[in-house]
Amino acid sequence: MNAALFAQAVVIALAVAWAAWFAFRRLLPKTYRRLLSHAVAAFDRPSAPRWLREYARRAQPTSTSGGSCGDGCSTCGGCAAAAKPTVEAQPLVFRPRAPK
Amino acid sequence: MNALVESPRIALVGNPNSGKTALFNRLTGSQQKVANYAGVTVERKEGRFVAPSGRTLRLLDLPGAYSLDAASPDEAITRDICEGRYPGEPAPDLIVCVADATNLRLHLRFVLEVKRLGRPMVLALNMMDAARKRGIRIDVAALSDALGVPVVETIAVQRGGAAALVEHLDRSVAAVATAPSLPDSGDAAVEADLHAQVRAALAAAVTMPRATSTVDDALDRIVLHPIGGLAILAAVMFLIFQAVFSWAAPLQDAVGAGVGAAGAWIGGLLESMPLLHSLVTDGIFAGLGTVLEFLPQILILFLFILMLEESGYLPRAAFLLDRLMFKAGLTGRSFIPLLSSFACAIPGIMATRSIQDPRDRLTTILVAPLMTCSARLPVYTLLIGAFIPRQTVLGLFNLQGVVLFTLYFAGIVSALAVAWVIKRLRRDRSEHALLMELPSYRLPNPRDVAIGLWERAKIFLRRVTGIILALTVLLWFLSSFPAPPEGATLPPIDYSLAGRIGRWMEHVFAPIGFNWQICIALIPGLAAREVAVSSLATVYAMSAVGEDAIAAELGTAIAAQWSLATALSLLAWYVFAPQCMSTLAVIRRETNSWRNVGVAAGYLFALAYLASFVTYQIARALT
Repeated sequence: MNAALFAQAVVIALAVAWAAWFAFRRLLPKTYRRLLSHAVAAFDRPSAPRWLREYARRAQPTSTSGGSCGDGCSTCGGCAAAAKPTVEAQPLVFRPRAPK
Repeated sequence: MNALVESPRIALVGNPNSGKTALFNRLTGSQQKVANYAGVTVERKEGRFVAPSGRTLRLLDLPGAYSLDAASPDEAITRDICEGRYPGEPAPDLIVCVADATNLRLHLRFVLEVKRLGRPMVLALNMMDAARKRGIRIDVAALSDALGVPVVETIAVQRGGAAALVEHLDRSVAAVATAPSLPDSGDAAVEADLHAQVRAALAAAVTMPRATSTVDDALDRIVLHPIGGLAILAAVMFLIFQAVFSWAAPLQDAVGAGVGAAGAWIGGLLESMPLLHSLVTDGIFAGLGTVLEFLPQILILFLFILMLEESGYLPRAAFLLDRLMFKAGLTGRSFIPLLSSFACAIPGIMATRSIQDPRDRLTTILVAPLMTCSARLPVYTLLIGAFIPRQTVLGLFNLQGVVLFTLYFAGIVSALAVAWVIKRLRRDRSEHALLMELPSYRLPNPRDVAIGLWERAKIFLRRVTGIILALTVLLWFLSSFPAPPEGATLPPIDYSLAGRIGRWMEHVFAPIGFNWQICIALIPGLAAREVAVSSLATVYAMSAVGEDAIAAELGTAIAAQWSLATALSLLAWYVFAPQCMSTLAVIRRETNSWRNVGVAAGYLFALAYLASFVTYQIARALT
């Protein structure tokens, strides 16, 4: 494999890896956060080097409700509408009608 | 961080459409959505600003409420926060009760109700400019005496229009820390009759030449006419879709030419690196460039929606359609959530929180995905542009615009039909009267409209450079590997993983006329509907051999390779198909039920397949 072909393969591998990571993070945010938490816990242990522990703490996922979407789903962050506000769920609650 | 947590917390409360969010935006510099109708804010929003004294104040923008006796989920949030019963949220240190100065007869009742909570508060008389224009004179000092609370004037939509309020808050929060106010100890008999107190306060401090605006009355006589009003509504909607096609064409061509030139230039630089060249031209430029061309159409659609929102016309439309919507099993209250769904089903589903009856709310949630969201616009316009000739009908109308209008109309009719079936299934005979406030008409503020359009453009570009780019790169990879075997004669995509998946799916979708390329595009389209367009562009770019490269010419390619029946079938599919995982996720969250998600996804897929099948078979028989 010549150098040019190798460089192409590296760039493409990086682009595809980024795309896979981005899509996974956006489409499965809860799973992403759970996996990230496990990874962080594995690195953030007393026997690990200090720099690794600091890095792990910084990478710790926040406990926010999800992506950057301010309008509701908080799952993929790819939907329309402005971000920022915190979102609280308002599940439907059914109450039986009073007997007539 | 601790200093921020300890900052005084101020809550903005008031009747719906009193301008709380406009005031919130004015104070915090935020750009939360505002519109001229009740029920835009359905959740708590938080911001902060620095007062002249240097003190940081935290500001809560709460959903509008007519009473603390909450009748809907959004009103319950306001009640709970004001009463200090909201989980994880202590009671605010100070309440700013925002009232529309042109409609104090309605708004002051809630002010008095909030006053009874006994918390420090101030009344912000908002829209004072509109009140003055109508000749309404308010003696602020007399009103303050009559109500027993401080009163300040504000004009939330004007620069500096909240200066008096900021100054008052700066002084008040300092005093609050040392001297908390006590519950009002007025005459109990008078307190029991809030309406009597409102009348007394109005008599003491307010002079109104007329209860309503003469302009509003004159316009309402025309716009709310049972027949003429509906004709005007239909004409407005028709005009919007005509404009989407007619006005966008030159802009769309310019964007397309720009993307094509950039693609050719970068492609030329990568000529010696075939794999990278393919990723950039066949993947990124063919995919993203095709989607990017639809930005002008999306912005023109939103220009109209934003102007209608600002004008105060939309609640009138809800009023006009109430009878029809009631017959279909919905209420006029469903109109605003359904209208919001034209932008995106997610805010539409969230907006159903303003619907009091849980059954009506569930029905509205289930039919909201049938409204044509802006993400479907690229798919519609791509297919219409490729298959419907650009010609004038009846000497006036653009045929492509007529077809687009028909597709939007099909979504609306389907939503009404599904709601009617749901009502029959649940044997609901109950009637829910529509009580809706009709706001004053207002000329749209160009700055607000421009900000709204800028926000929409940013959202679209964020999607293009985010999830759409990521999925396009992944699709390119799946369409390129594994490489074709030695001596292969077909385009490489036929041997790739994506090609094989498409061929396998083709068996299921052949009865509705979908080829394997469309089948491939359906999968990434689940993440975001526009991705179907970028995916088709990538797949067709990868399928092109040698000189047939079609980077930004997807329309030409599908016009040459698809039958009219297939195009119509795909259009019918997109009217119904629940191809948006985010929408299903928000249905799960708002209904707290996987069953409702299953019902929504199941009926939408069934309808999509059925509609496509019927469309394809009939079109094939006729052509």
